[in-house]
Amino acid sequence: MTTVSAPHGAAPAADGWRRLSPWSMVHFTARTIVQSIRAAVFGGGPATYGLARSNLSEYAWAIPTAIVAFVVVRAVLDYLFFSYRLHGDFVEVRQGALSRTHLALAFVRIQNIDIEHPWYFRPLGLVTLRIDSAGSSRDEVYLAALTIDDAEALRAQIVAKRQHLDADERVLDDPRQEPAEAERAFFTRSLSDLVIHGLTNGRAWLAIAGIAGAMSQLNVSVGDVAGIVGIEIERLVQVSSLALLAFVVVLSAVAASLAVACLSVLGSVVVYHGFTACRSEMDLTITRGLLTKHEIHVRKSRIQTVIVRQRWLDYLVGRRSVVLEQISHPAEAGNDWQDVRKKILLPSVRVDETAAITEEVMHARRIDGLAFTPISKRYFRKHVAIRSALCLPTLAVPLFAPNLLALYIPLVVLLWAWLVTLAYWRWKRGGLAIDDGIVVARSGTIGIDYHVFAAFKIQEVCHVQTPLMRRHDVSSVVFRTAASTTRVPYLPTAFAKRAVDYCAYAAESSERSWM
Amino acid sequence: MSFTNPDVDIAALPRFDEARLHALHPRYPRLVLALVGLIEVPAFIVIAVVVSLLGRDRVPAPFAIVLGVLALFVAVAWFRHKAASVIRYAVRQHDVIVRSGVFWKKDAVQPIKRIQHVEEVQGPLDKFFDLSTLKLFSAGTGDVRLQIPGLDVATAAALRSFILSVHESGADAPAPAAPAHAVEPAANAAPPSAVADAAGESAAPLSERSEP
Repeated sequence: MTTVSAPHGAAPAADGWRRLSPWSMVHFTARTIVQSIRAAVFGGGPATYGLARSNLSEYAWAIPTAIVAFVVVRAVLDYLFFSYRLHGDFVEVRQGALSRTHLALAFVRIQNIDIEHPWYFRPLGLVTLRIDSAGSSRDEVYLAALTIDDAEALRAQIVAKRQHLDADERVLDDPRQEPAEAERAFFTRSLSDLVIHGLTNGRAWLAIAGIAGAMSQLNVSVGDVAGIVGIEIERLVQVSSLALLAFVVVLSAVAASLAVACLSVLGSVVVYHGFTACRSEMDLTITRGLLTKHEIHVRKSRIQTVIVRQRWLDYLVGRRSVVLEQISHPAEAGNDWQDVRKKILLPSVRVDETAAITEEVMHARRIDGLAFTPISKRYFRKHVAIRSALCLPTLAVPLFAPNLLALYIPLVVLLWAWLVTLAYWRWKRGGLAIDDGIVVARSGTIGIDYHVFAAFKIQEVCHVQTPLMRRHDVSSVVFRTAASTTRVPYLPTAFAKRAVDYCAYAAESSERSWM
Repeated sequence: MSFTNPDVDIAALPRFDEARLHALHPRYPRLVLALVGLIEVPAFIVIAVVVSLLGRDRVPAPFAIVLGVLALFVAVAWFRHKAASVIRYAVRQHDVIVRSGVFWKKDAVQPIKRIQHVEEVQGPLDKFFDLSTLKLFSAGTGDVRLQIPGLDVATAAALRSFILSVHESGADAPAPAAPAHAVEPAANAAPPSAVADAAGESAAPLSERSEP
């Protein structure tokens, strides 16, 4: 069945099962370290320290040694018990020393095939092939320490199988059956683009959140940190004037945001360095990454929703991020790291470049110039009412603290004005357009976001109305694709109902597969 | 194979709000009441006993508290009963429509082609009332799924086999007859749909989608 030459001389067994190269132990070691770093640092560290301080100090070396031994033994076992083969319509993997698992991943279910170049394999010229399925994250296969040629061959073989299995669909996708076209780059990003992306999209928050999480594990309070640094907060407050303290606070805030911005830029450059998106007739190939180079292959037909996102800083510099969403997995919702990997993000796209990307991915020729049906002014009025109702009771506070009156009232009024302005923008941005089988939902406050999807890929579509909305002849529509849910509130009822009818018609009459 | 891409007359498309809606089985609101009662009645007894045991010196106005809890429980029971009795469903040749919601009235349209698998569920209480729930699963975010509760067993089975037959035979299976008790005065029956003409024999077999 399989024709790929055996990697590193690990000859396949008679039934086609193959082993990885021994170098894969490095991969398993790295995996174990990543998986158990918390336990090692927060358990092993203090335990060693405690042991070293106690009267058993001569045995303190035992704990780090045990940890290292555990990691090494596990890597060896992982390597020894790992085997894989391409068999029939499946990629099969057997792994695990204690609990044996046998995973069979159907070619038709494979979503992405990525070739990763981890830094620890770079000097050896080896790569890791990651195969991603449309099922859960546990159905993920890592084939570590392959040579580039082997990885490419395996990938080509899987792609060929997949296309063979999807042959019927292929005929439907493109009846003209053009000969396969060579891959061509259609979108690249320079270093300066990535710096802009880092500045406008605060990726550093992920890192900060991670650090904060670690700090909370250590139970370190601000006082402790100050104590370590040698500042006595109480004395500081007594000695220095309030103005000096304010100055220090502002200074540290500025320093902190500078640090965050630097981290953010660094994160953006590390993740998206050398970003290139190539196209062929059926697939997209995205290459990115500084330390670990990722090469992501995805079939265009598997992309469910394209989200064009513009944060407020993006708006100022006229950039956007384009996110290509594939089938999402309920269990992983909310897991940022999983999201980062499953979703494909094109960073720092200029406004005039957006159409080329949406056209390439889902034949949506334009999204900016469409005739959007705006959402009703009632939406704005409702939000003004809600926000006013929230602000009004706080005006009672000065009754209990009259000396704050002069400062407090303008503050509340300012806050109210800001909230109302945001509601106004949100109302202005809201809208829905359906053009040539493509549904585009517009939203946002300062920046403008678009959710773009093909009407025939709808999984479910809902029409929602309260009695109050019914009286004013407005409705909300909820579109659900396999990747995301998009809600457009307060559309004129007649239009909303026709949108529901059209999407149902498109899904039911189309002969194309949504996968 | 020639490729054509004619314009779609959106105004002439079949309308989801004109589909013939069926009510659930009349026993279903009673089932919901029984379910609520199973939780609320013991909870109320426990609260009443605890409050009266604690007495006036430790709980201010025990009678008012018990009365308040009773009012809350009655309101919840009323709301659940109301929500159960407003559910309607419609089955067209290509989709299932479920209407629900007391305040937020929601019409969910689920194309049958997009259904990954169908589950017929009958809990102990369902069994007692001789009803069952049909769950329709499609791919996507969250564990969102459409369910039609309060179907009598025969209707649920007929609906299930209709959905499966649409999957197997393309889209040409006849829609199941509505149960006698459940027909609402039809606003106006949907015209032979343009969708039906356009669909042809396309849907992928269900077996392919439920592979490991």
